[in-house]
Parts: sequence; structure tokens; C-alpha cells
Amino acid sequence: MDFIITQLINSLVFGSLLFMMAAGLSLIFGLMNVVNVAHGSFFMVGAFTAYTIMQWSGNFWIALGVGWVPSVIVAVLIERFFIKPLYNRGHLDQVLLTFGFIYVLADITHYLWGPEIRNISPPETLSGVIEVAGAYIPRYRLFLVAFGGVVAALLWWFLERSRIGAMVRAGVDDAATAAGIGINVPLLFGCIFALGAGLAGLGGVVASPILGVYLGMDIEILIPAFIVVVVGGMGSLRGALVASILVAVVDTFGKAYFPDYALFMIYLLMVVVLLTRPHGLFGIARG
Amino acid sequence: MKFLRPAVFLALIALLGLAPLAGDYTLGIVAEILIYGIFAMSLGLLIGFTGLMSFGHAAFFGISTYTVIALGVHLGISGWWGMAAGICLSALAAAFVGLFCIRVSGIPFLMLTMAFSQLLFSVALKWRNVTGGTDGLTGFVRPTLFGMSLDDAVMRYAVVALGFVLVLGFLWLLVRSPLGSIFIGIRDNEQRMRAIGYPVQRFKFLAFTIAGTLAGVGGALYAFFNAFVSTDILHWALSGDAIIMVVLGGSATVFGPAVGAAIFLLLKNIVSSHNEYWMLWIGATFILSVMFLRQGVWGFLVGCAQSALGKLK
Repeated sequence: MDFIITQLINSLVFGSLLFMMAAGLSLIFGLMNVVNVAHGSFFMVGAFTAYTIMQWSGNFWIALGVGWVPSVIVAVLIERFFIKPLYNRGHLDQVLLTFGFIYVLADITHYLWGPEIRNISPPETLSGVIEVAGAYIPRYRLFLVAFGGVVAALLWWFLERSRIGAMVRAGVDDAATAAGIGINVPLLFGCIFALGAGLAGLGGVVASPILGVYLGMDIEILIPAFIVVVVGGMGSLRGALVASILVAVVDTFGKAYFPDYALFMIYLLMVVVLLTRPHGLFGIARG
Repeated sequence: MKFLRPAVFLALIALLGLAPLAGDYTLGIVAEILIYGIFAMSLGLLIGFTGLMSFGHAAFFGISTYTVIALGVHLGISGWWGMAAGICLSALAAAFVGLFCIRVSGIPFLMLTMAFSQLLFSVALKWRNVTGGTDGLTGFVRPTLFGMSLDDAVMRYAVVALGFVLVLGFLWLLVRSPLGSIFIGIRDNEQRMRAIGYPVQRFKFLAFTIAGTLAGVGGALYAFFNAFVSTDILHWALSGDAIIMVVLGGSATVFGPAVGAAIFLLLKNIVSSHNEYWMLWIGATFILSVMFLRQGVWGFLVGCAQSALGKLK
């Protein structure tokens, strides 16, 4: 029983990280049909920034507060100077473009921080373990689950209750009509791109104490995050949330019960979902 | 216009024939470029001529390499039989994967092809008895041709160059054939092709299988060239590199991806000899080419040549 609870918490931890990645990916696609495969790089930049801030200040909360900023800056530059001129091209061109940035950002990170694997310890108040129904769970992991929940709730509130959120939803539903009634869709898209990058960077910051900080973490989070988006349905926040948890549960329990086939599980999940529902669980068919 | 293609072909054959004069080191680099050229051209058939963005093409390249080397190392089977087996296995694998993947298009297609290649990657990682896992398989004995071992750099190069010319010729014939026109039709307007009455799915499946088989040719030659294989060959990064080669060289031409392979490998060689940041240079070159030279280097040159010839008339 305690084993199952431990795995369940681990699933929720991984699910929170995946959601922070997938929410941005999904909204960016929903709004402008842009598939940003460099999204994992924002995650990595966040983690490395958190490491540097921890070196300087030793305070995790400062890292949490501002660690996502460089990801947003990089994202704004990429969006403004590279993606914008390519709006009118097919979305495969944007895949190619952002694919190039995976290489560039990976090497810049390598240049700035070097190839070593780094570790960050969680803050004092969140270290140690708590007993939950017989299982000993690190406090930091529980914090992460709660953090993911708060982010999801805030994002939901932003999209469903705020004025800008309503514009975003209008843009996702039908960008041309939204533009026709006076919504500045390109500007909105720029903001959502930055928001998505910020969420990914924040994910990198909070993930660094449990995953470590290393080159290659960009792809390691990108692939499951993409699986989440594809399984959940592109452009659907609800899909991203449900699929994050689904993918995380399948991955975590797969690793626990079938360690030999751990790598297969989430790919298998994606293959099955795509073959039965090509647009994902909550996706809408697009022309 | 008409004599442009034969002229390129003859110039290429002359260049390939002269390459052995350049010494064994250069010859090794040329052979590597030709092998990756085959691989990139096979992917070009999918991306450029059928409009299918596959992100798992390394699977079919790698299956063939693994087959040749594993058969040779474990069972002592000659590389030539291994090559035949490897290409057949690549074709079978491509047909199997294609059966599933062609049901979707766009990003889901990209993700599905990647998923299948990652599945294969994890098989190679776990099935250590046969594949050697991350350590790879060593001890492959290269086959002989006319009594001469392919251990000799010139012999090895000759086989690779022959393979390259055959694949290039095949692809040139293919895209000019009625079948090639159907592929291009699917790329340009899938719905219209469907409306005319073409069974689009069947042709996508065919394109996917042909591309996988040709990648298998490249993979088998790579086994002769390298005589070693590890899981790196199935990694998604190789599929990504191949996409870069295709786009850099020009996806709308048959020969362009091979030019892209040459640029990619030369850039990697030159930059790596100065510092370790070759990914930065490749990435930046690639980004610029996507933004400003979407037809690719070769596509650009062909365009220039065509307009120059047009003026002459």
C-alpha cells in the first residue's frame, strides 16, 4: 500500500512538471498552429538559471521568484525575430525553425555552464520527509504537487475568467474571426508564447532539486511533454491536464512494475491513443 | 534545361572517380558523406516529394546496420548476405511502421514515427545479447569483393560510391515516373488527389516503404564503412540530423539532401577541429536556411542555373 502511495505521489510530481510544459505547448499550438519543439530548452534554461541563482544567494525562493525570467527573454527574442516572419508559412517550417533552436540553445547552455551535472538541494523548510498513510514522502515532492495544482488553477482562472483569457479562447477557436472583431491575435500570440516559456522555465526551476541540472534535460522533458500534448489533444488545456496525469501515471507505474519495458510504456500509450483518436482525447479536428 | 541533369550526373561520376587520388583520410570523409547522402535522399523522398515529415527515419537506417553487423559477429555470415538481409528487414520494418503511421498526418505523424523509432531504440538498449546495448558490437569482419577485402579504403569507397550512384539514379527515375508524379501530387494537394480517385493512403504507404528500404541500403553500407554499431545509430538525434541535411540541401530536389549531408558533415568536421560547439553552428546555419533559403543550397543553385540558361535562349 505505501508503495502504491509513493508511486502515486511520484506520478503527481511528474504530472505537475509535464503540465507546466504541456500547457504552454498546447496553447501556443492552439492559437497560431505553431509547434514549438524548442520548448524543452526553456525548461533547461530555467533549471540552469536556478542553479546559478542558488550559487549566488543560496536561497531557493529567489530562484523560484526570478529563475523563469531568462526563459521568457529568450522566448520573446525567438518569437519576435524568428517565428513572426514565418507566420505565413506552413507549420512544418516552424517545427524546423524551432528545431534549429534546440541545437543552438543546447550549445549556448553548454558554453555558459559547462558539461557537468549539477545538483540543487531543496530549501530547508521543505527538506525531510512526511509520513502519508504509511509511506514516507519527501516534503519537497508534496510541495511540487501542490505547486502544480496552484499553477493549473491559476491558469484555468486566467483562461476562463479573465478578459485576456477570453481573447485567447476566442483565438484558439477561430483566429480569423477573433482578429475580425478587433483582437490583436499576433500580439496575443506573442504574450502566450512568453507565458508558455515562463511556465516551462518555472517547471525547470522547481524540477531542478529532484531531476538535477544537466545538458540533455531539454529533450528528456520535451518528448514526454509532446506525448502529453498529442494524447490530450492540441490546443486543449483540459486535455493537457488530463493527459499529463495519465502519462505520468503510466510512466511511473510502468517503471515501478515493468522496469524492463519502462521506456515503452508512454510511447505505447501514444500509439494506441493516436490510432484510435487521431486528434487526441480532447482535441478538435482541424482542417 | 534538358541537359542539366545528365551534366550534373556526369560531373558527379567524374568527381567520384577522382576522389581516390585525394588520399585515404579524405576518402573516408567522402564515403561518410555518400552514406549519409543516401540516408538523407531517402528521407527527402518522404519530406520533399510526398510531404511526410518523418522524425524516426534513423530506425530503418539502424535496423540494417544492426542486421549486417549482428549476423556477421554472432553467426559469421558474410557481409553481402547480411546486406541483403538488412535491406529486407528495413523494408519490412518500414512497411510495418508505415501501416500505422500513414493513418495520421502532420504533427501526429511526426510523433508516431518518432515513437516507433524510440521503441526500437529501447529494444536495442535492452536486448544486450544481440545488440551489445550502449557498448555496441565490435569484431565485424568486412566482406571481400573480387578477392579484395573491404578493409582497403579504396575498395570500401568504391562500394559506397556505387551504392550512392545507384540510389541517386533510382530516385531520379522514380520522381520522373508516373508514380513519382502521384507522390508529388499528394505533397501539393492531398485532398485533390483523393478527389480525383487516387488511393492516397496506399501511395503514402508505398513512399514510406521505399524510403525505409533505401535508408536500409545506406545503413548496410554504413556497416561496411564503420564495422561497428551502437545504439547511437537509432537515437532520435540521427533522425533530427537527417531532417537538417534534407532541408539544408533542398527538399524539393532529389540530389539536394546529399548536398545537405555534405554541408552538415563538413561543417561538423571543421568546427569540431576548432572547438566543441558544432551544434551551435549547425543550428544557426539551419535556422538561417529555413528563414532565408527555404529551397536549400542545391535548390538555390539549380534555380540560378535554370534562370541563367533561360536568359541564354
